[in-house]
Parts: sequence; structure tokens; C-alpha cells
Amino acid sequence: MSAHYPVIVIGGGITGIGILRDLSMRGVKALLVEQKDLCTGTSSHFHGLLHSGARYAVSDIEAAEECYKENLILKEIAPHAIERTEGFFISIDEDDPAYVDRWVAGCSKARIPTEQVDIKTALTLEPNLADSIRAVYRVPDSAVDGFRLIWQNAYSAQSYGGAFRTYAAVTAIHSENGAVKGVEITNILTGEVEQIGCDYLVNAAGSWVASVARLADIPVGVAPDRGLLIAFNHRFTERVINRLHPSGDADIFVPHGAITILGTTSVKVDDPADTTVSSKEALYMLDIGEKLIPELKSYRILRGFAGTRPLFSSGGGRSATRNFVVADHEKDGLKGFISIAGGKLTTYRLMAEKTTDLVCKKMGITEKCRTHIEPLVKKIDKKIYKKALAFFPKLGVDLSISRQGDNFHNVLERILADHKKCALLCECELVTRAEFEEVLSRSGNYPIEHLELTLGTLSDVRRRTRIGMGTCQGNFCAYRGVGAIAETKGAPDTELSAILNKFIEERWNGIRPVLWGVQLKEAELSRGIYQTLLNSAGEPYEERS
Amino acid sequence: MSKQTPDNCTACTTCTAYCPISKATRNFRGPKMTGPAFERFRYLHKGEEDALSYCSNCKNCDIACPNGVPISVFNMLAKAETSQGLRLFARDYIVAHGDLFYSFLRYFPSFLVNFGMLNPLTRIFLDRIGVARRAALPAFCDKPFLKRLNAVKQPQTDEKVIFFPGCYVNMYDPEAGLALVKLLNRLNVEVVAPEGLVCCGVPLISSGFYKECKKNAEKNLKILSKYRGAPIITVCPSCALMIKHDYAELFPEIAAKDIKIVDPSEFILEHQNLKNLEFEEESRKLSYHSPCHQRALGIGKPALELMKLLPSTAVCDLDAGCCGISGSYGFKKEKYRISLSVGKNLFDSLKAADTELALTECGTCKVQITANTRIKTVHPLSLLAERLI
Repeated sequence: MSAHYPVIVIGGGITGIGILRDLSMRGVKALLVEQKDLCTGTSSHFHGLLHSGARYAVSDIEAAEECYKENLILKEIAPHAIERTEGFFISIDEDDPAYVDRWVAGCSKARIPTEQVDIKTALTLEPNLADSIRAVYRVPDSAVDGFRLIWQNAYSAQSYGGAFRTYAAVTAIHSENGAVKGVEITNILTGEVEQIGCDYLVNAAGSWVASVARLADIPVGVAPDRGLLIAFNHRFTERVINRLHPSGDADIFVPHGAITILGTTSVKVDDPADTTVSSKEALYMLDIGEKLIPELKSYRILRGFAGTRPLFSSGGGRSATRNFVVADHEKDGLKGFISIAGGKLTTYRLMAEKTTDLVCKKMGITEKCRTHIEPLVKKIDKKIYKKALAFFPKLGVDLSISRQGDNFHNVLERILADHKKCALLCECELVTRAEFEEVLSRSGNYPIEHLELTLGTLSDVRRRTRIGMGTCQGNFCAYRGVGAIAETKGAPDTELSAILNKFIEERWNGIRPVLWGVQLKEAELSRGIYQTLLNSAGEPYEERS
Repeated sequence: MSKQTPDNCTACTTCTAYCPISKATRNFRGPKMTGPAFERFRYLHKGEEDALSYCSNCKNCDIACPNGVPISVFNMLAKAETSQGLRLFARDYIVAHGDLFYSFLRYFPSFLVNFGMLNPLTRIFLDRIGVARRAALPAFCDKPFLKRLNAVKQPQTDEKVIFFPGCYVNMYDPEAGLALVKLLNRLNVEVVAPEGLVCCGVPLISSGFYKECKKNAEKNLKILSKYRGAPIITVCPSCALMIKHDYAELFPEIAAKDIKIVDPSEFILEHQNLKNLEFEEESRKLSYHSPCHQRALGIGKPALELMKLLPSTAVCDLDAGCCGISGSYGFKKEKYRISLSVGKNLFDSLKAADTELALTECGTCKVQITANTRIKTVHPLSLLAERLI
């Protein structure tokens, strides 16, 4: 065993990171391992809705109550990851009017505040809604960004001594005398294998919980359930818009920074990594979404993407409980192994608290949870903010702070040292060269010499900054990004081409299934820049003397 | 027509490559950024950035855009949301409301008014509130266009055109308007100038006075829509562009159909009585500058075609970009230098072409060109009317 940690957490999604932060805040030394980069699974492949709980008010009152409580807590501790948009629940002609009463009763039972809004007011507030809507209720829904939430948790955990390793897949679980001894970690980029010891192992792998538990021959009933999301180029509602009916497909719109996300569908899949997106499914969603937003099909789609819900149930699908279960596998014969299954992003903090409570109880640690009172990001110094305003538009400062949190002052320092670094590397999401370099210096703990190690680099930066996630989908920031990598890290050309191609290919994956309208023009521009101008496909050419 | 979305922008940046302001100053982030790119974030209501005020509304971005994105409209609508503080507000109010000041200054003799407005003391005061001291301001005319039109004895015919004088012709350059009247009368067309028309609103919207601009649009459209079917002619390309395109994009809720704005040069060239017009030769060396808003109309350069009616007279088409003044933009102290740097290419081209008389349709282009090249500049119609036999 090359190292030993009291606790190892498996899974770099919001649950795992939440647990890492909670453990670290309670003084427990812990290491988190993630098979890819942080926030590559369901935590970034969902609609970005911070539930008020109203969606579960009829089907699952317990989940509804939990959601509302956590909604209130997260708005306080994670203001930089959340937009307090509020939400509308809207009933249309084809919806069962009787359901409205049941829903209102459910909300009041779960103590979720609702307020009926008259149609005229609703249409003034949300002019893109269909005129034919029949009833509108206001709820405290909000929009939450999974990326920001994870990175703010991760940086906060780091400041408390928590550690995480990415591209480190758990390939074996070691035990001795019925107790966990450690894990085997395989670096998925290099193939290097490492043994790390631990006393407690927390399986927070989300949709992958069952496959991780299988390494210890323990069955856990988590069934991945795929949902498709569509990201639109602009924000056409100010609020979260839900259909007021029993939860169904394509009935949630979440405005999110500069974009809007429409979700979702529900398809049972065997492989948690099955995030296939089909044009047919996308068109099916637009057909439904159009009933609330009549001009929906005229809006430009940026991309389609899918994630898998980690549903804890034997049945699965939308009827499954959205509650979570903390399973102590001591009863299954493996001491020190704990799995957390089910749940949803809105309740991640509570899930982390309950799991950490159990770990601490076993370790005999009495420190109480503080994640419900301590904000993820410390208050940004007013002086820093003021200084930054000289270099960015106000909007750019706010966005950069929300992305980089406590590290924002490093971004500013880079600009103060070299004013040119305030140039926008990504113009669609307003990311400066300084922010890019700051993130680059923190991501990929890997030396650039190994080609295969660097392939993830641009996408790693993307998840921390949103480069490549706006209108141009990487057309301009990708080549600027590799330019910045070349200058700061000094990588050889062949590696840079590989980084560039990998990034562009990833962007294309989400564009292909929705390749029509203006997005098709954008794709042609991309083809012109990368395949023609930069010959990214590597067509051979003859040098002429 | 519903609100414009930024969806058609592919971020190709062609607009920024064609933006004369972006070339002249680093303070402006370019039309792509302040237009469609920021538009996506405007729904967040996080406030506007100051750089927006650098957009001069010259519309070269709109001309360049391969996807038909109304970039300048995004900028103008967003400007309405910004505030530059009280001092600049006063300045902007003055440069945007020339018509208002004229409405009471016209009771004084023009030489007195012009002395009052243009003397060094006033200029020092104006400079203090942000009107560049060195910027050439236009001088008021003796008698406004509308008064002088009443004195013209026009043929009584069935063919009438509706004339939209615009502030520039009415207050500073009635000759250009009267030139049109003279030419059209010769074609046996009567020019009608309806009562109650106000400033088209270009200077208002360019300085962020959205509500007033909308009021003006409403007033003008109400009057103009009474003359449904009749061609509406203005000799100012900015007024034409505003009425023809921008009203509908800025204020989709009050857009009026059936308003037919016709370019004066096109109208003359296509008229059945064109043969009535005979001209004498012009011996001076002529150069033509096509104003940005004329090019934004998307009808080419009909004035150049019209000038071919002058016998054995060659006109050099400068094709040298924006003059930099953009209405009142170049009068503003912090924009004055930018305005000169934008116009430099045009000034140099004019001098290089050995021009004796410059021609351009736009009133403030004329002021800018003359001030910076000492070359006399007139409306093409003014020259034609002068040479009419």
C-alpha cells in the first residue's frame, strides 16, 4: 500500500464531493477518487433545477419536504452556484384539472409555499409562454449549476485538507477478515496501478454505485435511468417552468446563465455510462415542450446531452422513490464499506451529512455537521471586486467569481501582473485568458510529456470555466485554448493537435443529434475552421520545393 | 414580429472585423460582444457595461453580418438601459435634441443664434459638459425648409410624393430639400410635406433616449400611414433607414405596414418623365462618399447612377468607409478622437483624389468631411438642381 487514508470516497460527483467536504470539515482525513474528471457524470448531465420539492408534492411527499428544506439551505450556502429564479407550475388544457387540487394540497402538506398567479400577470412576466395556459402557480424553484457547485465544494474541501484524485478508477476493493483494507486505483490515462489503504470506504458513485459494490460482491439496487436534456442558445424564460401534471417527459424548462435547458425523458438502461442521444428523442421532446413555449422550435439548440439518474429501487423509472438510502454493508459482511444510493442533486448536502454522520459514528468522532451553515465560498473582498471592475465588465466579474469562488483573487492577480491577460479567451461565456490559465494551473496534476495524459486538458478547463459551452461551441476558444496551453505549458505540436481534436470531437458529440437550423451553420463554420483551415483531420500534404 | 433573439449569430466575428470603432479604439469590445454575445446575458439583468456607449450606431456590423443579425438594434436597445451619470446625460440630451433647441432658437435671427452657439465662450462651456471643443458643429440656416417650401410654386398634379424633411434638412440644409423639390417638379411631381412630422429619432436612440424615440416613431408613423400607398421620400439616408427598417426592429409593437420609403435617386431614375431633366456639364472634380446608413439600406449607390445624368462629368466613388461622425457621435468629447481616426481613410482618399467638390447624402457626413479636408461638400441632389437647365 503506497498510502493510507482513514476514509476513501469513491465518486467525483456532487454526492462524493459533498461527503469529502463534510468529512474534511469535521477533521477526518479523506481522499476522493474519481474515474474521470470531477463532475463528468449525472451532476453535470441534468437540467440544473434546484427543486422546491413541488414536483414531488403528489407522488413522494417525503422527498418533497426534504427538497424544500435543502433548497432553502443551499440558497444560503451556495449563492454563487444558484440563481434565485423562482419557478412556475403551469397547467394546460390537456392536463387533468383535478390534479391541480391534489398538487396544491400536497405542497401545503410538505410546507412548500405556492401562490396562484393570474394568467395575465404570468404572461407579462413570461411573454414566451403559450396564451392558452390555464392555471399558474409560483414556487420557490431555482436554477443550480452542477459544475460550480462541485468545484466550490471541492475547493472548500481542499482548504480543509481534503484531497481528490481524478482519472483514478477503483478496480478492486481489498478486504481482510471481513473488513475493508483498501482499494486498487488504476490511472485510466496511464494504466498505472496503485494500492491505497483505508479504514472506511464510501461508495458515492451515483449511477455507478452498483458496479462499484459489485467489486466487493455486494448487490446494491441502483438502476440507471437515462434522461435527455436539450440546451438552447438563449434564455427564453426568466423562471423555471414546470408542467403541472404527474411528472412526465420534456416538462421542465430551466433558465441557466445565458442558456435554457429543457428536460427530460426516462429510459431504463443497463450501463450507467449509456448517454446516447438520438435525434428522434430530441424531436419528441420539442413536440411536448412546444405546448408551453409555442416558438420553441424556432429557438436555436446548442446541443443535446443525456445523463443517468441513480434510482434506488427494484422498479425504477419515474415511479421510483427519489429518496436516498445510506447502506452500511457491515450487514452484508463487509465492515467499513458504506454505499449511498438514490437521491438527487437538490438533496446532496443532506445525503453527505447522513453518510458522514454514519462514518463519524463508526470512527467515534463527535464533531457535528456544519455544511448547512457554512457557505461554500468566502465573501469576496470588496476591494478585490472593485479592482476587478477596471478590467472586466461587471457581468464578467460576477460570472468569474461564481466560477472561481475563493480563487478569483488569483485570476485578478494574473491580470494585475499582465494586463493583456484580461482578454477574453472565450467570448460566449466571458472567460478571460487569466481565468483560463489559473484553472489550467490547477487542473490535470499530470505532466504534459505523456500524450495520453493531456487529452483531457481542455475539457477539464471547460468544466471549471464553461469555455466551449456557449454559442460557438468551441469554434473560437478551442484553438485559443491550445494556444494558451502551448504558451504556458510548452507542449509539442503533436500533442496540441491531439488535445484540440479531442475537444472539438467532444463538442461535436452533442451537436450531431440536433444538427439543424442555425446550429448547422455554426457546424459549417466549425468545419471550415478546423477541418479546412487547420486541417484537423490530418489530410496529408506534400511539401513543395 | 416578436422580440429579436441572438440565436442567428454564429459568433463568426465578421461584424467586429468590419467595425470602424473597433479598429479605432480598444475601449470598445466590438459589435459581436456588445450585441448578440452580451444579449444572451442581458436576460440576467446584471447591468450593462460602459463600453456600450462606444457603439456609434453606424451599422457597418449589420451590413457585414452574413446571418442578418440586427446587431446595432441590440446595442441601441441596451443603451437605453445604461446611465452615464448626470454630466454626460446633459451633454447627450443636448446633442440628441437639436430639434427641440431649434424650436425656440428659431425665433432669433440665425446669425445671432449661430454666434451664440458657435462662439469660443459657448464652446468652452459645451466642452466642459462633454461636447468636443474642436468638433465642427453644423450652423443653423436662416429660414427652415418647411417655411421655404411654402414659398415654392409647385405644379398642381395628381402625382404626389410625401416628403419627410428630417431635422438636418429642416434646420441646417434646406437647400438639399429644395433641390429635390426643384427636380421633382420638373418631372411634374408635387412634393407634399405633411404638418407635424418630428425627428425620426436616430439621434435619440443613439444616445439612449428610447422612450422619446418611440414617441417620435409613433407620431411619424401615425402621420405617414395616412398617406398609404404614396411614396415617401427623404433626402437623409439615416431618416430613411430609421423609418424603413429600424422602427420595426426597435418597436415591433407599433410597426406600421404599407409605408413605402423610396430613395430619391431611385425615384428620379425610374420616373417616366426622366427625359424632362437636362443638365449642363460640371467642370469641377467630383468625389462621392456613400454614407454608412445609405449602404445599410441595401439598395446600392443609386446617387452614383443619378450623377451619370450630368453630361461628360466623372464622379470618383471613394469607397473609403465611415467618416466617423455617426450623427452626433463625433461631437462627444470622449469620442472625438475616435471619430477622426475612423474618418482618416476617407479624408486621405478625398485629398488623394484631388477633389474639388465632395458629394454625400448625409448631413453630418458633410460637416465632418468639410471640417477635416477643407473640401466643400454638398448633397448630390443640390449639385444636380444647380446644373439643371
